[in-house]
Amino acid sequence: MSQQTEQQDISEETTMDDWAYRKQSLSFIWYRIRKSPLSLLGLSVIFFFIILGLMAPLICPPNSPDPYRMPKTFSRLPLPPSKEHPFGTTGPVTYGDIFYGVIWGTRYSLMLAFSITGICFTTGVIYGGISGFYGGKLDELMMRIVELFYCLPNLLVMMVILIALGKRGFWTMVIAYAILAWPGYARVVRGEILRVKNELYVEAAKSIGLSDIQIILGHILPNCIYTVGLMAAMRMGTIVLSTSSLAFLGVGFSPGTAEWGIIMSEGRNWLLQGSWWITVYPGIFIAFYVLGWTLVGDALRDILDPKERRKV
Amino acid sequence: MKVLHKYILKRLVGSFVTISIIIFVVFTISRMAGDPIEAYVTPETPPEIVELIRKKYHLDQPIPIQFIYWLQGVAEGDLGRAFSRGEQPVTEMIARYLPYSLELNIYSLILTLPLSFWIGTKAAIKKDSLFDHLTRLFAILGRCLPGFFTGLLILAYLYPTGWIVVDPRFTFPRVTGLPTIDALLDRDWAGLLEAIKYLSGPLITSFIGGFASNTRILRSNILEELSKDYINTGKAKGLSNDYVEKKYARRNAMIPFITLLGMRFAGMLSGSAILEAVFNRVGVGSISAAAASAGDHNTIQAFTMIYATMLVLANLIIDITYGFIDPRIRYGEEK
Repeated sequence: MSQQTEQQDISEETTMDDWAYRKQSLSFIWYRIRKSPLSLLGLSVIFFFIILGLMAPLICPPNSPDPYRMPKTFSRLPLPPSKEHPFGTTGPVTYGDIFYGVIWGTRYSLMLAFSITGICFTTGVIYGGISGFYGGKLDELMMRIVELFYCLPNLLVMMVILIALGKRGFWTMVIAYAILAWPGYARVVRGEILRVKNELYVEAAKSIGLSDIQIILGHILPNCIYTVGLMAAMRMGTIVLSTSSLAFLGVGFSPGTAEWGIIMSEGRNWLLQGSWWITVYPGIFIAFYVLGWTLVGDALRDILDPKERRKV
Repeated sequence: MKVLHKYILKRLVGSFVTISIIIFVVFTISRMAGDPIEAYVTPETPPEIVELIRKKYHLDQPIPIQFIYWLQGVAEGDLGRAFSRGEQPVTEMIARYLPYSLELNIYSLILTLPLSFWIGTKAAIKKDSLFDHLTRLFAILGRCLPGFFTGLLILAYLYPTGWIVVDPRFTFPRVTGLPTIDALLDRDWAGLLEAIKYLSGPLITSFIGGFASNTRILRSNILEELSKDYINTGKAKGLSNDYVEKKYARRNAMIPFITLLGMRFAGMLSGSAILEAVFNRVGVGSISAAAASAGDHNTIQAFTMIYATMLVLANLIIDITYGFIDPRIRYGEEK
């Protein structure tokens, strides 16, 4: 059956109009996803986290003006999981409720990942697009600048940027992260554009006198957006790995913020005294979050790989 | 060969320019992160003395001029003083702490590489077998668990057993700076055991992460090579499967892997900050992290310079060796 669709795909490619073709290839991707159990698992994990993030105000109604602060329960030692605090509390110094922190942390992490990816994606597409499409000396210069970013010690420079930006918090982290992460997208977009740029349909578009913008937006980008989208999906998980590592080192967010890494960094002091819950619950959340995106990323990569596609 | 020489020269000049620009950019950013004068004065210091200190460290000059003074210092082997660590000279600090990080990363590479090589190849050859599935499961787990989480779990389980030490007392003299080597040189067996216990926690953690990602990359590289035509040709002309898989596929799969390895080695030195934080280990990672959060300009610049130099040089060496390994890569001269 799928053999047949694929053949139709190729034979009708020339006659079909652009959007119908694109729609068909999207439905093909969906077909492949449905056929692979691991990618379904990944999708459901991501779906679960998104629902959790959206429902956070319902699951744990905030009672302070800033919902990303964990409510405090004072006690001399961290309280173990109980009915009142399903995942326990962090104890001194922040006295936060871990269940609340982990749920709102989901929302926080998702927002971080989406904002950072959105900014990097846009910058990368614009920058890489210009560089790849116009080529020549401009391309050379723009790519040298991108290469500079690859030689920076990320962790160190990120900390320096965070300090230079001053205030700790959500947007500081987003900006600091995006400054270092966009070059990756720019490079991939440029590579894709170089691949697509010399195709016949681009020549055709040029010959009928379309403007550069029209050609880039209408003919080149739609044909290389999958690869960039795949990259974005794979980065969605690693962003949270990195930001929570930074938080663990005590950079970027202030203590008491409902963020997985911050909670775990407090857990470090209590772990050897037996208070495992502070570390373990947020850790499991991070692991599953990253797992979801990894599985989806891997599956998408296999699906979008033209060599793999032909095998179906 | 003439082309090769010209290429190497061109790359060397390019690398030098890259490193200089990076250092200048970081210099500027870290100057924006705070006035360095704050490190030397308190709010009560009389303004005349503040001015004197400003003059002494050339802080009254514009940033490009300050940068030139700093470069002059570097040329003389003086990287300035780290005020975040009691005015210790940065050069001394690096000499003291770099060996600790090198020790961790070198041992981790020595352990990880052969194992991930062996297992990655085996999993690729026996694709979809139980062995392959287990390998992939482990690789995915290793990738999803953040390093500080595995580290903390290992700490929680092994610290009470006494297999991990976080505050070692070394009695042997310092020769190379690498505790395990120094203990060996001194034939101090108790000291060696202590050094190993000090190393074991971060080493296991870094092994889990590194092994998982290396195996994953090697497996997919080898799978890609195995699907190519030359493999069939090799088999068709009567070579054994084993020979084709090990000699043909594995060698070709190594090329992209080496590039990654070079970048990772440079990255590991800064990435070990997290492992060092978990296990209370000293090393450049934690020192540079502390310097960055204290806004210690001299230390930040020194570490950036070392990192950028190492990464650029690693890439340069890799690119040049490629020319020898793979005759198809002609350094873009054909274009």
